[in-house]
Amino acid sequence: MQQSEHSGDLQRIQVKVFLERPVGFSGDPFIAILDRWRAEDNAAAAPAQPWIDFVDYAHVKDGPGILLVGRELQLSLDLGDGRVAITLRGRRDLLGTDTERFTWALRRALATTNRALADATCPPGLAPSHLELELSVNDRLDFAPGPETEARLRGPIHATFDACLGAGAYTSIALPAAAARYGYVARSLAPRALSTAFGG
Amino acid sequence: MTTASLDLFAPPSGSNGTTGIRSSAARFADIDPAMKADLEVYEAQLRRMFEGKVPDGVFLELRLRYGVYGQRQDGVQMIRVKIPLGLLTLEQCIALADLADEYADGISHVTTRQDIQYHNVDIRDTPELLRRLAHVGITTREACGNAVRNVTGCPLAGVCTGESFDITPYANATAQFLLRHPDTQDFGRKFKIAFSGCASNPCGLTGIHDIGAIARIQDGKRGFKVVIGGGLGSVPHQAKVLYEFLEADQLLPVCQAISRVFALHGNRKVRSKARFKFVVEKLGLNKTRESIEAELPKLPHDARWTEEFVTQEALLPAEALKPPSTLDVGAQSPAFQRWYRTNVIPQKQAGYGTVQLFLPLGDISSDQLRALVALARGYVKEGIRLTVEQNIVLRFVTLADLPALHAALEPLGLALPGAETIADVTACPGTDSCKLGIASSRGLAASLHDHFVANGEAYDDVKDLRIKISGCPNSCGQHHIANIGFFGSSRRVGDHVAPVFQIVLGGTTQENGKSYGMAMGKVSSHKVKDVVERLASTYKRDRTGQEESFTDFVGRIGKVKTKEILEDLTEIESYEARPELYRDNRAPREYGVNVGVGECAGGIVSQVEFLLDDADRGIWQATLHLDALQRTEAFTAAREAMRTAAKALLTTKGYLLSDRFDLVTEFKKTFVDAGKFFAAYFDHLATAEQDDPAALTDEALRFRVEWATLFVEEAHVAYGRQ
Repeated sequence: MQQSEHSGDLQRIQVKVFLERPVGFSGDPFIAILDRWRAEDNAAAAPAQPWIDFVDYAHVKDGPGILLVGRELQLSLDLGDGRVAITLRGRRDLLGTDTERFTWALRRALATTNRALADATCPPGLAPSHLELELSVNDRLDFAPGPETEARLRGPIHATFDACLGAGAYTSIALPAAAARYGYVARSLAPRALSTAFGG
Repeated sequence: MTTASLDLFAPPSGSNGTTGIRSSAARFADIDPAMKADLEVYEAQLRRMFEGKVPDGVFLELRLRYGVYGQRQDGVQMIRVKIPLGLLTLEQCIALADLADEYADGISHVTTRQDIQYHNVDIRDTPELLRRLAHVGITTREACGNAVRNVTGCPLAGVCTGESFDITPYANATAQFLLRHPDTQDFGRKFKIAFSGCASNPCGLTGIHDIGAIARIQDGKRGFKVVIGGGLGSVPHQAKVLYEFLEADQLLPVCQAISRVFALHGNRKVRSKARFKFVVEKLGLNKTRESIEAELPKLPHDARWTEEFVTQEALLPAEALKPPSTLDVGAQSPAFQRWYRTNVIPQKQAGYGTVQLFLPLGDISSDQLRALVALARGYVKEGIRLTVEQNIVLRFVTLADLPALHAALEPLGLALPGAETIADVTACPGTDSCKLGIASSRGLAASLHDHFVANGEAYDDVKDLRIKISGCPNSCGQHHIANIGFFGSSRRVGDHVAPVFQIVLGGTTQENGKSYGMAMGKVSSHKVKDVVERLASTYKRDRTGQEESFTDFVGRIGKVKTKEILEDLTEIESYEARPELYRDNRAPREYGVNVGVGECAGGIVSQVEFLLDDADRGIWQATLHLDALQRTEAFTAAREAMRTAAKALLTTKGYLLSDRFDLVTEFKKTFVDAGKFFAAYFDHLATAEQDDPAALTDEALRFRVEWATLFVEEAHVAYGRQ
């Protein structure tokens, strides 16, 4: 591969807000929840239609789960790695500095998670005891795991974690090589409610 | 930072240049020159399309030729990635996994023709996506559109105990030879080719292809039995024998000549009659053969006719990573033994097995695919192969490694037992993403998957049955060659429309798809599981012995008895009694269209419903007559069913049955010309009005009954849309 053509435009940010996984958990209620969000958000944003449709991959073990596919991003009840998370995948059209983009994506993912947990049909027991968050980049052309990406994105990612969780109030580890994407997972040192993120 | 990007629910748009197209052309300057040229054309046309300089229809055909397919949902595309014979290197698998994550939704979907499909892709990302595929030697060129589609082949080629010889280099040579070939660029419709190493096993499914090539050795020479004109679709055709034996070095010129005949004689006006099977039907087999042979002398000699096989053979060596070994299967865990029985196929190379990974609904996540690659490096030297059963095989696994491989696959969710059994349900995309879908084939398949996971052992005695599901009559899910097939339709009951599936029984994948099933009646999409349970248990109980196949069993007990067995399941209760029947499997909202409360709300059956039900009955009678070889009665019943269905719809437009009107003319004017009834199905009625049943061949008569079924189904769907 040769030199970058679009100078590492950070778009494909992926955020995971990890939840608890109760025994016997089924994500099926999220089919209706995400479909309702699609209808509500599209009506609110008319004539723009930010959401295209929902997709059901619940039959794939530890897979992407149940997704809401949008024009700029995807949201999902993510079942990856045997865990449960609300995941946001950016697709395009983010603006601002790298830190601003991570911050926007993380705020949006947290807001989505709160919205899901507040839903009357959401399965019980999902609220996490600690805040555990992944910030990563699903872009192996411009941001493959390696020293260059580390040099550019480690700072913005941790600045975002600092703003969200408080400097020194969390541990962070880089994603393992098997994840095949650059990023970090941060976990609050003390039990934290979702509502306390970004200073509540 | 912009204000817009602070808005949590309205991220800004349109910031990425005038069109937002991702290209990366400069980064991939080193890709194959032909692919590079293709992608330059594609990207240029995409840009022109955004600028309004290319007519929509022209761009549509162009993007289809590059594997970019419209989804049911506006704003996203399905990308079909052409994988000849389903052959993938491990490096290519990694690339596919990465691209699924970055451009799609994290899933690579294995199709019934050994392609990979991505869904929910932004068309502006496609130039970059296609270049990244090209970078690892994969093209989407001619994956869709009116072209030679992916060439498929038995995934056991080279390791199968029953094959005549390894078809891999021949099939791949055919794929490479016909790709971008000038003689394949002017088709009126798609064209499908399949290879099989033997005549008996179902792996190649050559009988349902435009060209099927079955390996044979005659007088010590390699060659092929060549069949042509097969195809499923709404009216399935069995391929016919063009040559009992064609020497291998004649294969490519004959394929080229067949392509020319298709280009010359294919119907370009009526899309539903444009496949090559209709050319064979129109010309007849002998005339088709004459036409092909008339083309052969016109072909300028091409060195690739013979050299391409050698090239491909060198590129695709069948090699093992480890020496052969033995395994005491009986000494292993019950879970392993269960998996071994259905998912491991002994190879002709002693000491090795081929492992089949059962992928529910043909889906594999990027995480699974990457983990599989990491694992496979320790067990196999060649890559993987995708199968027409929407699974993956790993070949040349030394037998002693099987327990460790099974244990390693388990946490990945890739050690499900039941590959190519009743649990391994095939389904097309259906209403999930296909514009033609009527009912949710994937939702049904997912529900059946859950059922088999929970009750798998109850089906052990009948595990060889195959279930295949299409979301509409077009048979992308191959329902015609299933033992128990289903295709989606709809049924209006009062003011609500229910998703239903037509039951198709009597087909088989055996002997390359030698027989096609016939429709038996409809059930709610929520009662399909009960139908499967009922049929399986009845077969288990009443078959004459282990050797009686399900297809033979259904044939022996007959349609009337089979219908009786299922009778109580065919009822579709009212919305008030069972509202869940009016929501498709795993769907969040009510199916179809709600209509206002009409005058018949009191429970009186309207004229249209009554007549449509009568048309259903007529179809049923036609199939019975067909079975009883009562030709005239079968034809008449089928034609009357269409007439009744047409009258039914006309009653919704104010026509009275007592009125005197020309049915065909009025129906055409009111429904077909108004775009409310699929024109190709209307042609079936028009044709039937002209037909002389005595002049029809047995096959043509069967087509008439199939056509009538489609016409009546379309009438139900048209009524549901009102």
